[in-house]
Amino acid sequence: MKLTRRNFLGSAVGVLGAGLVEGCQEKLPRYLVPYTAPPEDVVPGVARRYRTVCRECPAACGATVRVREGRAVKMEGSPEHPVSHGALCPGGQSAIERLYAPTRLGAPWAGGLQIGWDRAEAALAEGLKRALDAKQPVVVLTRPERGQLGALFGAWLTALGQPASQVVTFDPMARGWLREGQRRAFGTAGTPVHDLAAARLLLSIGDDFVEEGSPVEAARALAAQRAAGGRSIYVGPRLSLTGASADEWLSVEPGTELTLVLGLARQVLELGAPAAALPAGALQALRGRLAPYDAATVTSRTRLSRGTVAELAAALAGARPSLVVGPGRAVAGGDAAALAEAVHVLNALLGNVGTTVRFLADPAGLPGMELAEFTRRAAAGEIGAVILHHADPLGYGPAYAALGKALARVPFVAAFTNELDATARQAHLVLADHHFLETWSDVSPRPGLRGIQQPVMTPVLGTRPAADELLAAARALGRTAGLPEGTFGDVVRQAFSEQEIEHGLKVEAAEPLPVSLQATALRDLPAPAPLRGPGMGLPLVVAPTIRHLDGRTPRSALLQELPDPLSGHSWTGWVELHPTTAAALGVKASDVVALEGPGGRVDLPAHVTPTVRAGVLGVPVGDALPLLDGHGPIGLGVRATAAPTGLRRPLHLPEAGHHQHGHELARSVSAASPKLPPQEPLPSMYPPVIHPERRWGLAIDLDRCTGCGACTTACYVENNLPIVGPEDIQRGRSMSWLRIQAFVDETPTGPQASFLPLGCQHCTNAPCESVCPTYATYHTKEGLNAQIYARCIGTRYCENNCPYGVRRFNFFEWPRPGNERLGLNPDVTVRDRGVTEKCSLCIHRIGEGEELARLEGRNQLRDGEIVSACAATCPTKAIVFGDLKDPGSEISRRAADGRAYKLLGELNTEPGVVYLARRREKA
Amino acid sequence: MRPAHPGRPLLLALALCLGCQRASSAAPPGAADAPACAPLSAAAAAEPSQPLPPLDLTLGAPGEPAPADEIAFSHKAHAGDCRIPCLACHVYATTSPVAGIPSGRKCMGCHKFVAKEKPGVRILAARVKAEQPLRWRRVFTLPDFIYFSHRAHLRSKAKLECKDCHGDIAAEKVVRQETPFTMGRCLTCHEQKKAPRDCTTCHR
Amino acid sequence: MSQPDLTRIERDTLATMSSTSRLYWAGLAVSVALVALGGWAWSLALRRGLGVFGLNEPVMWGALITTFVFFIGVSHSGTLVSAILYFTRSPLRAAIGRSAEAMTVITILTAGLYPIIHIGRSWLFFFVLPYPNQRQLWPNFRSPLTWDVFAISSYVTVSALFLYMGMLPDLALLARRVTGWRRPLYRVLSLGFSGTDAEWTLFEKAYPIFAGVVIPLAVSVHSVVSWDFAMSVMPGWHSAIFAPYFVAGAIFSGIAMAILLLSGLRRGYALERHITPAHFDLLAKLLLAMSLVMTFVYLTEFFMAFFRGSPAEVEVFTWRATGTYAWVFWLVMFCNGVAPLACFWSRVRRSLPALIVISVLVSVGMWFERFLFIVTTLARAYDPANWGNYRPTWPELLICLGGFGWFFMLFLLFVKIFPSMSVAETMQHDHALTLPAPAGGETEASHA
Repeated sequence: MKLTRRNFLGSAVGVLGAGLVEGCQEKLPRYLVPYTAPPEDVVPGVARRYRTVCRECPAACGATVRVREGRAVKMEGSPEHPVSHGALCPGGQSAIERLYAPTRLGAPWAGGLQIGWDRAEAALAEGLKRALDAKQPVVVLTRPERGQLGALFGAWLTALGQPASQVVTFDPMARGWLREGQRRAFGTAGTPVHDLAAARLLLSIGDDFVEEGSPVEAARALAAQRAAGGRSIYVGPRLSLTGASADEWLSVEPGTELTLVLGLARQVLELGAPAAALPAGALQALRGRLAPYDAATVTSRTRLSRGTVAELAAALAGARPSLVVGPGRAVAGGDAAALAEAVHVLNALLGNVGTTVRFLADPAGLPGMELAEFTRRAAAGEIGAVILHHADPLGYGPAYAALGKALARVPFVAAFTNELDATARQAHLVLADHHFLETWSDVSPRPGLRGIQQPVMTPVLGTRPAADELLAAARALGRTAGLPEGTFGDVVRQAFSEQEIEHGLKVEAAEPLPVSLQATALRDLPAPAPLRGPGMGLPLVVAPTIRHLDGRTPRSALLQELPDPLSGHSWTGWVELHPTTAAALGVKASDVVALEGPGGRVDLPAHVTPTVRAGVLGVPVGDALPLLDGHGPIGLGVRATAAPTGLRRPLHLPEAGHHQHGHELARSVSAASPKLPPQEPLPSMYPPVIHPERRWGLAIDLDRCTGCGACTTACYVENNLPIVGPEDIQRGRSMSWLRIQAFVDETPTGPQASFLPLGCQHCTNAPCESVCPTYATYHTKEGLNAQIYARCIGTRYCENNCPYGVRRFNFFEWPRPGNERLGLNPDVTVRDRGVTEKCSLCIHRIGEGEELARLEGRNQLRDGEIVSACAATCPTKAIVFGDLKDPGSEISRRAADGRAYKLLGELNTEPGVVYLARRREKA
Repeated sequence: MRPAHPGRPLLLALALCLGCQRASSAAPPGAADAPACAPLSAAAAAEPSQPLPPLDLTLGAPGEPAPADEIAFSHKAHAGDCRIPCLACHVYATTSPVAGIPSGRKCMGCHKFVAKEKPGVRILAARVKAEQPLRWRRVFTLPDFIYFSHRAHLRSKAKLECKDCHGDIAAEKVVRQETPFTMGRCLTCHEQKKAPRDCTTCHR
Repeated sequence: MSQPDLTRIERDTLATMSSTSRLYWAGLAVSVALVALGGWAWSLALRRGLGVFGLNEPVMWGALITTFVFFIGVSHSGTLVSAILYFTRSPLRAAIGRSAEAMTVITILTAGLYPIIHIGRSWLFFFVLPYPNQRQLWPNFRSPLTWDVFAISSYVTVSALFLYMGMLPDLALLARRVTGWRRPLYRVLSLGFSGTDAEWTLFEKAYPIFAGVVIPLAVSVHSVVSWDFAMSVMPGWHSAIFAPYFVAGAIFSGIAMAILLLSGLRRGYALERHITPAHFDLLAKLLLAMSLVMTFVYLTEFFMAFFRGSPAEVEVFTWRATGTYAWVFWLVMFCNGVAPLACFWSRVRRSLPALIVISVLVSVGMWFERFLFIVTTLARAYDPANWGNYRPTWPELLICLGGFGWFFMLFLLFVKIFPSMSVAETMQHDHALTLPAPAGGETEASHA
């Protein structure tokens, strides 16, 4: 191009021009579009709340969904629900993200092509018809559906002239060994209910109950138990979140947990346990069966010191009541059932049965077909058609390879799903189901409790509810005997009263089962089962994580962005190696290690940490799947070989310290005298800051925090935080306003984990405020450290000068794919690139609360009337939001506690966030 | 709480959401403002007996001028000559941050009987009959990072009226924004009325 | 009788303007190319976002701010040195005064670009300027960045005036000498200075005032820039020594840059007669002195850190010397602390090549020194779980290079349009120096 004066000038100004264009983009909507007919229950600009049930995991917490202009923008726990008590876990908080996720299916698929619903329905009916004509069975393969939908499946099969028992429940994370052990010990089926909170001493045999099972309920119970002064001990080769919250972590040789428990049982008997509960004969028999497990055997096998075991036994015998839970997946070896049996026996000996362990009668349900049997028959080509309902066996790796092959032999497979998962890809017909926030259903997390799931909004995409599609197919086939006339939604609605639906919950009577120890208990104990695996590999601990529970795919982008509580890694898998193990293998942190298991091979970067026992491989369940074979439940008693590959895959911020380097950030006090030396106020050159009416703040009790990350996730959804993706996370550009820092400090008694939820401290003398040249950040009269995005020019001086490093910078205009824009919270500004942001203490909630109060003519606010998103969702109420100037408020009570301290108090920033040191037996 | 009504179209909601998403907005966008008027467009002249083509409700490229309204709505005729109070149509103004725009049905509440033969009303009727939404050009806008609450202003001690900010709409055949909504204007008024001048009152 | 001298002086001193060597064109071409590259890299940042840089949480300031501080530093030698030399009536001044002052103005113009480039929303940089607006908003006068704005803008104004003032006589001279388009330019610029005694006396009165104002200003500006860091709470920044430390560093790097530029001019325009080894010898001594001061400062910093014993402080300084950036640390120590020690030997001081090598080392050292204390502090602050690291990306480096290009481009243009040495002063003092010696010779000649 010839450089004329004109185009020279052009290119010269181009540089600045690019900037100016950025500056003045017209972003406002140009039209106003009124309703055609105004819905009487919607006021534009005012949020409505609906009760429903969270279906992200089988725990089925009751939920409240905030809806703005007909779009769900936030989900929180339902305060009335006995499981959630107003809280949700990270999974529940990510439900909104999944609802609008770009990976969601919006239309039916067949042969890799999108098709219309007419064709899809026709195809479904046709497929079923063929199977029926061929007199081949039709099978429904579903995720656990403990509610009317499960019943409907049965009725539907009956209508098709099939045995109603042809419903296969697919639950890879089901802990069947617990039921088996229960059957052996007590001879009863029934749902065990644990009262964690009541236990003076809680012994968990590798049961990571705050991550698997029912995270919210369990975490709340654990916090209550600690608050009541109860002790908790975690046994297992890897430190899980439960272990991190426990007072003590006993790391035993993998596969020897059974020996330990039996040894404890024996010593407890010797100490004269409340044997009254047992028939004398049974007691005699037990003594005999426990004889071989003397202290010597136990110590030699478990590698625990004789003293430790004796102490533990004494403590158990002494504590009234105590509770032994487990075994969890993390320890369950080949002899899981026997271990479960032993745990039940130990509980019985300790007199816990009936007090902290109760059994509820299971609701009468149809005995479904076993997965194994289904696989066999399908492989034999006997099955004519399979309806998959949110079941994705092939997503769980080689463990279900056989099932995959079998499915391939089924002439017709239709999959109801939200996302195109591995199994759906194999299906002949994929039917896009509603998200659980868009449809009716109900689910019973445990006997006596039924959660009601109601649609809170019109569907985002062109999906249709699975149940209604099945009914439609039945109608098309003219086989409607015993099926409801209307939609499944009507069925659910009719089953509950208006009021029950409003509360999203129905409580029924559930009578406890009387149980007594079988005389045959512990009769045939297996020899300690050797762990399976190629060669003499290392024991593999397959760890469930709070983020990905069972490692289901496709994963929520939000949960992948959320750092793992203990390791701090996002967007990647990892293998945990003890420093000694790593040294032996010759690998350093972030070196890629090749793992070879019975199922296959996977390469993972090494996370070198003392939180896993030496000579043991710890892998999150999602990443371990390729290693596992179909033998027994997922990930039990497996060995794997590990070898360095010479490659490196840097894990997030390798420089980041994993211990505190003497900085006393996450502090602890001795449980005996929970008091910290007082921090006397330091002199300041600035005039004292006055808060005329209120001083908002947070009180964070480290003694309650389990590090689950629900607060962080809630913050992402509430405040429209962008998801930056793996590359930028790698560069340390996470936009999280509230991060949970895990420190693992080496102590004489082994590694000690502590969690520190860290967001903006809303300092009274904020270092960030004085340095901002434009007043973009300043201190409000109510004690907030406010950030005015419109005024921020992005000098990032504030971020440099924040000793807590909690300010975030928008390096890019982060993408929001799919319909994610619809899920944005309209009350919170979405930040442009080039500006700094940080925790606002949910200033929009504060503003709304105060506005409403003013409209009611009140100036006073009740404590708890305004709650920040993080505090609202914290399962253990570790985080409390409130007014520090209100002497009656919970936060003030906590601030006055002897354990209260301010972070980096020596800098005299006078934070508005109060931390309460964690109680430890040895601090 | 009553269950939601899955079948019901929430078009305003959709538009608002699209709106605020695009606007990356803290402010409840759109509905705060009075609808605009524009000279009668070709569509208006069209014989409403034959069905009207549905309107394009997408936002279009930033910066493009919005097409004219197909109905030449006159605030003068309604609020001025007929003395209909603002809140009769913008019903949410005292209960919500958003004032809201009357639905087509609400318009028909009167126009079933009044001025039926006027071209604009015929278009209205056709739209409502076909259950198609109306579409108005917006006149009053606030930057996307501003939180503004109608209810807080209308129910404040200051006894504000619509015209204090929107001007004398009742006199305007075609609504124009006489004085722009600048921060200075808000601040001056807040100062006079002893209202909070904290940044976070509007910036959230 | 000294007429021939004067004409020759005139010819020599104006050589930069009259003749244009191939070297000059090459230099200009290179610097313009660098500017273009830098501009393109900046446009990248404007279009995509600052994510194209290597910055991250926690290291939010990097190469750009480093270069900003570096250029501010360089700027200081110029005017400061020249003013000091003026008062000390040093013979050096006639030779280097002008180019030093020019260097100052140009470097500030360069440095000023960096804060604008580095902020997230460059197009709103004017928010830091105090101007009445309908938003009723003013900048935050507690922020050291706001102080920077004032300090630097006033500094650039005064140094520009100082430079211009000193040029008046020469401009007047030029207005008489040159032809073509430059003639009217100089005529206007010379403000009708015609060299009458009255004008000269006024000039002699006025000039010291500027010289006097510049000196404290120079000191203040660099102190203010240092407060960007010293006013923070960060370990390794929050230290009372920063102001003197920055001023010293400024003079240090400035002298190095002066040596480089002068040797360039001298070589390029055969000014050997006017810029003599004696001059370089003086500069080298100054360099040496400053180097010793810097070494002292480095030691003090470490001493204070461990003396205070705050864990964060100790952490930062230990990491500086041993951590990821240890190599930078030791490089800095060598360039700024060790290399200049060679100037203890007069042979080194008088050998131009040696001085050039040392000056280059010092310039490099000073850039990395700024990089070192900016990055290590941010990467290793109070919260171990938030420790990070930083590696500049190529757009950042291109923008830094572009800055150097910009600097040399402006300087080359300057020496082409304005006299790079004060003709008037050179005459005065060369005359004074050379008169006695050749006088005898000439008288003999006159007899003949």
